[in-house]
Amino acid sequence: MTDTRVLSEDFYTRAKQIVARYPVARSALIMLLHDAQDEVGYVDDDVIREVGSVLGLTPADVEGVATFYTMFKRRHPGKFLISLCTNMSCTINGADETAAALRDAVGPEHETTSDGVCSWESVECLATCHWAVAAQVNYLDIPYLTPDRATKLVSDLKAGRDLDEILSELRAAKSLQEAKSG
Amino acid sequence: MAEETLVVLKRREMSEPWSFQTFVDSGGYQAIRKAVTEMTPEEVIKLVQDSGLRGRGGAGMGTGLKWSLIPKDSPKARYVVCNGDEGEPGAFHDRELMETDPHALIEGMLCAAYAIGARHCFIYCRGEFILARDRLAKAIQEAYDNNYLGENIMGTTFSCDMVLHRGAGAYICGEETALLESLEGYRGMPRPRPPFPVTEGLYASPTVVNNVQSLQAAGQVILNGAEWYRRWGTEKSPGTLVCSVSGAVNNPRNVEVPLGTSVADVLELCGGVDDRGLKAFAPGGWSTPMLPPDKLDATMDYEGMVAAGSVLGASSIIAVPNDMCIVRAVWRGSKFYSHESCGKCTPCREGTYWVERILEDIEHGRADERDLERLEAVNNGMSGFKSLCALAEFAAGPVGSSIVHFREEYEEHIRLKACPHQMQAVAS
Repeated sequence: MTDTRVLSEDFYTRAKQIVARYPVARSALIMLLHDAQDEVGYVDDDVIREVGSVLGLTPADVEGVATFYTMFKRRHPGKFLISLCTNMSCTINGADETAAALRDAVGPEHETTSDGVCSWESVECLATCHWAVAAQVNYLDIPYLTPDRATKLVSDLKAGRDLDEILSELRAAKSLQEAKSG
Repeated sequence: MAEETLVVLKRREMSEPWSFQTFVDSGGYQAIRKAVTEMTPEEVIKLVQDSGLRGRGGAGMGTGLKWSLIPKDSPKARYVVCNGDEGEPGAFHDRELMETDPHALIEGMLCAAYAIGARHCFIYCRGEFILARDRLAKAIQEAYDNNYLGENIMGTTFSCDMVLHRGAGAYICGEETALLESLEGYRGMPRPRPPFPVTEGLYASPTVVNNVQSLQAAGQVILNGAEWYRRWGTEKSPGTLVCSVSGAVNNPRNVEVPLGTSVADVLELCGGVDDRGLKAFAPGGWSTPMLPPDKLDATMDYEGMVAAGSVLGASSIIAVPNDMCIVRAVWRGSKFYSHESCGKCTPCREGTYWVERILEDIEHGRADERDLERLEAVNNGMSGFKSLCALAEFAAGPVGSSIVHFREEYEEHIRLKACPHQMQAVAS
């Protein structure tokens, strides 16, 4: 079985350290799933089986937990996952329009562009309502994602621009008005 | 003009407030030093009780009272768990508090651990909060490096360990028993109560689950005294409160004010309602019953909000603008609750499902009068604390209150067989 492992030796070393932090080993399950997903990109059947093996849990048990939480992806998202908040304060400030722009630029929600670069999803409140319309790319915060900024974000990501650079540009806007007048 | 009163947000304007150096240079770790070297655990609990500090997570239970309910004679280990799973629509204060002042959270948790005799503390930080995670992880390491965590803290006999745990995207885990299930490595579904976490919480052991803001405030109370804290707020709701303000306001942000400050004053501190004008506001996050503009003088405290017909909840004001269709807003909110219902209790699982569908029909002009009656019936069936946790209550609040205050908008949708706001948008 060892030769077919999808998780690295480093994962197993880290897993031991993570498990050791908890009085009861099973408590580490969600942290291990995070760690494995960070390494592989998603939580497929192999990941589920291997994470389960660390804790002595059946694949069914681990899958039951993994599928409860929206951050664990059973299919490979794009290299960059854009999460758009469409909850109340963001809807009030134009999230529907941004969602339409992402649909145009990326495609249907949860689908990935053919080059494998981008996917997008609408998510619930990200607790950055002061930045409405709030979003994240790979869980890094983006303020004021107007339709124009969303379209540019997608083309920048597809063009292979540096993510840190893209983010610092987007974060330079200090208000929704400023972002709109862009 | 109302003024901000920065107590838990006091480091917000300092340079790198999250750094260990800034924290200790501004009085940090003096509360736990005072508690451990000058006070007994009982004295710490009494001090927090005397301050009148109440939990900021929504239920408003006395923080000191909660600590006092940990059984003194239990042979089991005790645990302190911080609920940092902020997910209430409209709430963003716990995120700012964890990002800007992580050491203050560690210190508050140490004080709680000393008070109840806990050796292990857990911070349950929402999975999507990457910056908070990084700052908390660094702060915990710094606290270990400087002997504020670990064995024999500050050379005393008090020892305490802290683990940073991440959620993974589930609103329900902000409910304390669901959070504990999640922290034990299970699906985050609420547990029946009793037993309450104070007697059977994490690993069926006595556990205090406190909100971020409550823990940070407790540290300041222990350092400065109960009377100091009672200088602000009301008799029954003493102290200060961080309010998140968003929606149709000019300068959306977190503001800290004494409890008892009016909604109007809080909005003014955020630059006031923007030029769209105010149709309604939810005072404690979307899950709290919405109020019309004639309730702007309602005060942000536990009693004041109940008197006004809502609840303080997560003290997060969402200003709904005049041009927003109320049915559309409530429908969008209902999608959130049906998505986040864990499905364990029938009233919530079925109620949130049907409420969403009926609202969708009304918004899209597919409903008649009987559907509005049906909506009220399902909504009433879902509320009244028939489930293990309050999620169904939260789901019912915006629906019921919007029908009370904006019934004519619902009826107009039914009469026109369309959304009047959409018709207007198409016409223009």
